[in-house]
Amino acid sequence: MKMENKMFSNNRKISGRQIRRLLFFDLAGLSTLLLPPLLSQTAGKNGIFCIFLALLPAYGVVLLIRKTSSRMVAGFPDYIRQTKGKVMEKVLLILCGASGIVLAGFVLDTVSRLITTQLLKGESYWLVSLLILILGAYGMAGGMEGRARIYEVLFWPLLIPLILMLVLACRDVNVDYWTPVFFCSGKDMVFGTLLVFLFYLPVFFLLFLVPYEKNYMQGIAVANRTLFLTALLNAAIYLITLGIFGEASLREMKRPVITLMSMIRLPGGFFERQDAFMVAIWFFALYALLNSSMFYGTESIKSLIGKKGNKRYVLLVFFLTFLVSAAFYKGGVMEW
Amino acid sequence: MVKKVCVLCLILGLQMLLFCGCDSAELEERKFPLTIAFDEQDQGCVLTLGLEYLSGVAEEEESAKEEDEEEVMAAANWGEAFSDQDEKNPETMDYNHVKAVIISRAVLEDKEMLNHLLDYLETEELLSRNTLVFTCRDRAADLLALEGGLPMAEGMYLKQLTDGMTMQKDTAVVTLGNLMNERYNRMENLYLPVLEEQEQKPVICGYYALAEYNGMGMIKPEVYEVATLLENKRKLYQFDLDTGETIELSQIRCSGGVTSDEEKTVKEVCLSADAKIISKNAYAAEKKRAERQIREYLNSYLAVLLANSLTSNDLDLTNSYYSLGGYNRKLYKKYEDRPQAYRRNLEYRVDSKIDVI
Repeated sequence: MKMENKMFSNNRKISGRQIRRLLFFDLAGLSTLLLPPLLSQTAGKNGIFCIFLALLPAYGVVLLIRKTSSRMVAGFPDYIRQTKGKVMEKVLLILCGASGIVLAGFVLDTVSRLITTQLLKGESYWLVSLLILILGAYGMAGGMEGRARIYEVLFWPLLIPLILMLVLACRDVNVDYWTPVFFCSGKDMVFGTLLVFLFYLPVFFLLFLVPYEKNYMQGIAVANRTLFLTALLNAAIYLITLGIFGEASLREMKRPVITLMSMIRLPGGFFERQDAFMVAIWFFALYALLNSSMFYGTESIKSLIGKKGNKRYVLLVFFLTFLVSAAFYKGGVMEW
Repeated sequence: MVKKVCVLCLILGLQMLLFCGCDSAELEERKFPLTIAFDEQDQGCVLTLGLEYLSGVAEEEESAKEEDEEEVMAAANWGEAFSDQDEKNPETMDYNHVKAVIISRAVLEDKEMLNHLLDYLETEELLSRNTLVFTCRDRAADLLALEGGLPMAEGMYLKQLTDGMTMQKDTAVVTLGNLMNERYNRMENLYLPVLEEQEQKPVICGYYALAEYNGMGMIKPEVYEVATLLENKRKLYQFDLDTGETIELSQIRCSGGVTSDEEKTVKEVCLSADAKIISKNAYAAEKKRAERQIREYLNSYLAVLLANSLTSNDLDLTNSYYSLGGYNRKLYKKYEDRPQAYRRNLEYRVDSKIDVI
């Protein structure tokens, strides 16, 4: 224990680089997996423009966070209570808590389905879901600093293979599949942009990170850059999947980026089932988002109820997340 | 600290107990289909698997290898056929190594059956999208029966047959992924190699053309070569001039836009390549004359072939429909989702630039 304290700081503060990497996984994990077919259904070949247009409202959210953070002393709930009153504080905390739990439930459903369809075919969805949730709760118990450190280290080992696979996939891209552009209605473009913006919304949780930052501007400074990098990655994946599968085919696919990984032929042919390895990238990225959303949900409920302790809130969020995930699974929201 | 370690060990232990797949079959007992044949029968379908047994390869169970190299399953639909196959061979079927599928022409032309098949394969993610696709005139299962006379498993043989076609690029080969994409995209031509038996071996005797996922009939290998040439899917192209010289084209580049007036649509075919005169007769032309000769021959030959293909098979060998959006937005809007109407008014203008090396 003493050795551990000497080796690692434990001041409940995270650096700008850690925030950037954590935020990148929060934003990119879900969007890269689900966005291509959804965007193909809405904006079609113009989806690439929607990915960048959605940055405008996202930057607006970051600007709002910046203005709010500069006035915060003890955290976001405290700030709302002082400026808008207790009722508004409660309403906002309920909204934030609910959105954290709903997002966590959705991510849990997504990652459970990913594992039961790609890695452990035929395995029980409920068992996988429960075990991932236990892992998620355990990850939360490790604290913000622990999670930030892990993802700081995992960042390049996850991103480098992904970039390599995308570069190899470029050989099979047919650029004629990208044309014609600007051939959809304005309504489709707006809808596509809003859809992409939904996937950028986890940036809102930066508000809850302020107490963990050494300086409130750290999070703001990295948020815009991280949003742009996420958009770049999504744009690359969208162009590649569109150029390989075609618009109509992309619309019908469930997880085109995973399918893409299974098609790429590595030079030398020494690695045949790289798709299983690549699924690990999305597992870690979605796990990061699951942890983050459960954390923000817990923080909101803790501030809402106000009683001391941690475990009871973690358990409550645990059960609520499982219920929400079950609802998504039974409801077949994404028609997996 | 101790409590944390205990909790972690418990979680890991639970996962190890539950996820290890201890009840799956050993490698030697597994069955690896390398080729699958899909046939139609009265009100149902037939699935035939060409299998590879590792235990047979190891010569430990030679008798087993001789008896069961094929598994045949007839059922009302594809899902049932595959499920029955899995029930007959619980925990032993491994579809991850299938190299090729042979879809009989009857199944290809029965859209409902083909859609069901592709639906099932896509939903279950049973086969890799890189699996090669072949077709045949009669029953696909008859071609699987040839396996005994081949030097290797038929799936490997068919893969080598395709790999051996060094004059065309990899993009010319039709895979299951191409077929699945085209089912929805419906804008391109696909040419499926047609297999038939010759001297107890499967050989490619022609190609079955699909245009926008609709069957257009068989085309000869020489027409297929021109189609791949015009789609930039060819590395080398050989032909004979009327004067007897054999010419080999390399560094092939085919381009050209699509223009239109009120009455007709014109696809410009601009072919540029390096030409090597492989065999020369006593009257071998000088470079400029040779280039002119090759150019005139190609322009004429391609123009005639393109026009004939359009008239007799309603097939646009240039596959220009899917790239219309990039060339001519006005035409794309006019013919959106109407490829047949596009071809009805289509004419070609061929020009080639040849550099004799």
